[in-house]
Amino acid sequence: MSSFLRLVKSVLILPLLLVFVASASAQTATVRGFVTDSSDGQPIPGVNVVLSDVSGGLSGAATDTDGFYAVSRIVPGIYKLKASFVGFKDHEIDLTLAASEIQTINFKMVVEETELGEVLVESTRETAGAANITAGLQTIRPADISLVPAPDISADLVNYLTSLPGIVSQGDRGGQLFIRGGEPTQNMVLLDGIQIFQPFHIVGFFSAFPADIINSADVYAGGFGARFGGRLSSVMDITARTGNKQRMVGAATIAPFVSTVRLEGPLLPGKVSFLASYRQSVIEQGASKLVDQELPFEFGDIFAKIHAKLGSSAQLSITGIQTDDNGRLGLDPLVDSEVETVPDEIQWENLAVGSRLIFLPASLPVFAELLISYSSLNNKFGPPGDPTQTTNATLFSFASNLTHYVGTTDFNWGIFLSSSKLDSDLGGIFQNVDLKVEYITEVGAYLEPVFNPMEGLSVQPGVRLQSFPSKNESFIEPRLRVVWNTGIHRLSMAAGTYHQELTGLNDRRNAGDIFTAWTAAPNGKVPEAKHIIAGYRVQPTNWITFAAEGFYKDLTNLVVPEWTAFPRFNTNIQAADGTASGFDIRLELGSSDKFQTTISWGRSEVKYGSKARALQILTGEAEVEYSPPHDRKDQINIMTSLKLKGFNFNVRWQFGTGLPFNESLGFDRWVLLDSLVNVTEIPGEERVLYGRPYTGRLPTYHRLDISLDREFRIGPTTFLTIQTGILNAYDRRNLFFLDLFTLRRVDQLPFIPTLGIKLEYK
Amino acid sequence: MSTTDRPFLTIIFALSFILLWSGCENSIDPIADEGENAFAVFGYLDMRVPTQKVRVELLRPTILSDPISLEGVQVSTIDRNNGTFQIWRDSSVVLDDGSAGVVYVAQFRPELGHTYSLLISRNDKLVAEAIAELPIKPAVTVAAAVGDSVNVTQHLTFLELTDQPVALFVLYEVIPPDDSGVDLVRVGYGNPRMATVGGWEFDIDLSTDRFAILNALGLNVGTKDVKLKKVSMEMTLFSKEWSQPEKGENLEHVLGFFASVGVFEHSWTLNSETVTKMGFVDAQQGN
Repeated sequence: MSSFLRLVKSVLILPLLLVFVASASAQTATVRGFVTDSSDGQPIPGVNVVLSDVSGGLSGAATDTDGFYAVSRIVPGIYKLKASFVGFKDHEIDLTLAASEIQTINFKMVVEETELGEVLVESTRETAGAANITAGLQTIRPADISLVPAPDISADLVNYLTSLPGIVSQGDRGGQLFIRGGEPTQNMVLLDGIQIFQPFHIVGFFSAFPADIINSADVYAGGFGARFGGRLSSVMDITARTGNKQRMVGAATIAPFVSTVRLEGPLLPGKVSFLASYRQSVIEQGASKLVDQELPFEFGDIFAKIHAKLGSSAQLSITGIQTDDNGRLGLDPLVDSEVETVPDEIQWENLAVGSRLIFLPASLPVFAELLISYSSLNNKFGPPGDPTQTTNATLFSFASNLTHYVGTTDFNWGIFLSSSKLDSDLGGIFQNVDLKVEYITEVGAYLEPVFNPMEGLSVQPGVRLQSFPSKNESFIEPRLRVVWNTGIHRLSMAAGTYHQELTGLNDRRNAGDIFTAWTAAPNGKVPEAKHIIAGYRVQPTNWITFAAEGFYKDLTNLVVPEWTAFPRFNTNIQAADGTASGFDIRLELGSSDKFQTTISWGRSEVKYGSKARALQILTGEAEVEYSPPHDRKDQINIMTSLKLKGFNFNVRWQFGTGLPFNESLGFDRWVLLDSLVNVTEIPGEERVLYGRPYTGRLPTYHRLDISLDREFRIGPTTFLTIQTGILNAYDRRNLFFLDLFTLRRVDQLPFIPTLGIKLEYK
Repeated sequence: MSTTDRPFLTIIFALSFILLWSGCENSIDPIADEGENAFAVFGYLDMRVPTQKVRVELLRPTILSDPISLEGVQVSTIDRNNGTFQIWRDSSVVLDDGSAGVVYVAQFRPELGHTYSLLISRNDKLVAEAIAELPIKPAVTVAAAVGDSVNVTQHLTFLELTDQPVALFVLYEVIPPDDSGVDLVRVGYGNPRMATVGGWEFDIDLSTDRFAILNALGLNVGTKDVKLKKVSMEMTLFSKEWSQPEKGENLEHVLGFFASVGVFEHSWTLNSETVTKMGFVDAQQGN
């Protein structure tokens, strides 16, 4: 503990040191600023901002998700500063920098338009590309998402995520994502810095993040830096668009699964904007009738954001989101399908609101960010109106992140504080968990400088100090990230140690039950993960990108349902250790302008090992190793997108080897012989007998989805887009859930033709 | 096409074939191999009764499946200590919830310390076996009684007791004052009180038992001329399977629960002074 305190002091002393260093480099100048799209005021990430002196010497930076760039340690003099990005005209200005000067130069980029026959085509904003992965980090832009065929004309982030190798979903229902061996509760999802507990909708094509509201998303499949913590597996850091600052625009869509309304515009032109989106599922009226099958799912979400420019050096945004889902995933095993009963349903609701202030202190080469947020989740399972299992989690969070630009080094550091209240009633499902109302406080700091010792090389060591005063637990988590760009090649690696005090408990023995209870790590053992990732990417030409990446995750103190031969209606929890390892290979051909194909293959193996007594008794072994139910060995995705004469044609084929499931030995009537029971009279209780855990494999999963859309101009700024498509084109019966009690199967969605219409005012 | 393309194309075709082949497979067999044709047995051998019963069933594939016929199934036991072989008789019973069950019955009383194999055969082929070891009689030491007339107790120790004692009775053979014959009075002590190194310890409260005896005989507490003819104890023991019913180490290719219940007696002689302190007349043989 004393060493922890010493480290905390070190981190807190750091700002003073950095101010000193900044003062020491006062003979040089700094240029920084924000780059936005002139047409709507949106920040543009990934813009190259290059500073060139009269002798041709170059230095520069790329903009981040806020469109922010900074070039520091510039020798005073005369320069040209140029911003360039695909789809926009280059923007160049002359600049004179004096000693100690910090200039803020904001760029407003103008969209490049080209004439193609009679059709006016706005140059497409660049996709980040599925093969553009760097040590587990995949950046996703709305243009990427739009390449995936979807049942809705408005594309959705999750539909793209499930096309990536290493991300396993249960299928088209359930809303659960397993990222490189991690469980859904081990993923951290952030929207504008606000944590969202369970943002993926019950129908697997949809999340709380339609492409229309996304500016960019950074998905770390592991190896994330010191800025992020409190989760074992992954981080999805999503930045929402800021809304159009120039004029009112909007869109309305209707499709078999969901209807959407989006509206955005200036509140104070050029300064304050809003963006609002409302989506509501129409499955009962749409998709259900198309397939003539009951699809008992309902979901919706409301998103709103206000963004304000507070002068040229500060911005404030307030973001709010609310989601709700309910439906039935599995089957009640004891209810005959012929009998009319009220089935159990799962229901969850997220509510989150937060504010984000970013500012550039006038006299320091610093980028500062302040985040304050509130997030809650309400999750229920059981008969409608009378749930048997409930969980309520609320989280207040404050964080401050700063970047000091000192020469070629970016010093990132920050502090954070959060407080959670967790209140669950598990209805006895976990017999050895006595849940009560719990309060968890988390406080800590991190330091993560980015060194650029030579051209193309970036070394990012980090340390995160994380303390839970309410639990008397503290952790020091080292992190490392190295990226080396040399010519057409990019080599990268990332590693780190991670802890998760706020744990999600669920009973994965039943795929139809996705109820998750949030609690402090039970038994006083905090789950821990150690990641290491190594990757290689090569881009020999503009239209070929190849990437390969390997990963290994060592997992300890995991919380899993205990394995017993007894009925599944309740269980204990038990500790398990595990590993997740694998690799993925991605090949991307073409560009998003006309033709693009991505082929990816992910191979992985997830193993859990448990020394739980029940498993020892069952198997006679000291430690039992098994594959958890999300261990998909191989996953292949092929996506093709073709643009021709104004039509967009998208195809996706997915293939995944079968997921593990519990094989049953059969059913008997268990007579509890705890006394001299008369077995000729007592009938006993129905019991399913399991063998070893997850020895069975479901059949392989594969599906072909196709979509075709075209946008028609029906007014000066009014557009009508019509999309048609087919989900599961060859009507593959992909199994979602097999009820061992009755052997009734629930299949994923069958062949579904879709038709969507979007009316957009741009 | 160049010859160097051929291996590449071969690999592509092979991969495509594997994908198509595995991709077409859509059926699922959710029953583990070891569960097919597996039996469940519930019951125990009981020394206290002359008729032994176990319930047997075949595992059903689903909860909604009807019970599977046990036609061709034979249940038997063999006493491994003396080789006695016995075939059990099947009997259909109606259980408390109205459902049907199949119970196998045999007329014999198992013996303490013997090991029995319950054999389940189908179509004359042995398919499952469950083993029950009857508890072993422990060594008993009886200490001298202590205390005055209102509180006479006697300490018993059971050594080398490996099985679980579940009930203990002290048996008194007494003759009422009218000499109408010998009456047997059983005084229950429930579970023995404490485990000790290598066994169990237990205290008999002789003074309190006197009131229980007089009450059983319908006599008032002041009655003087009751004769004590014999004192002994009877202990019921559970075999080790009862302590961990889920373990099933004694079951081969069969699920469920199979165990045994053993009973043993031990008698001793109280000295005359103790009998007098209890308020009885000493009529024990040898005194």
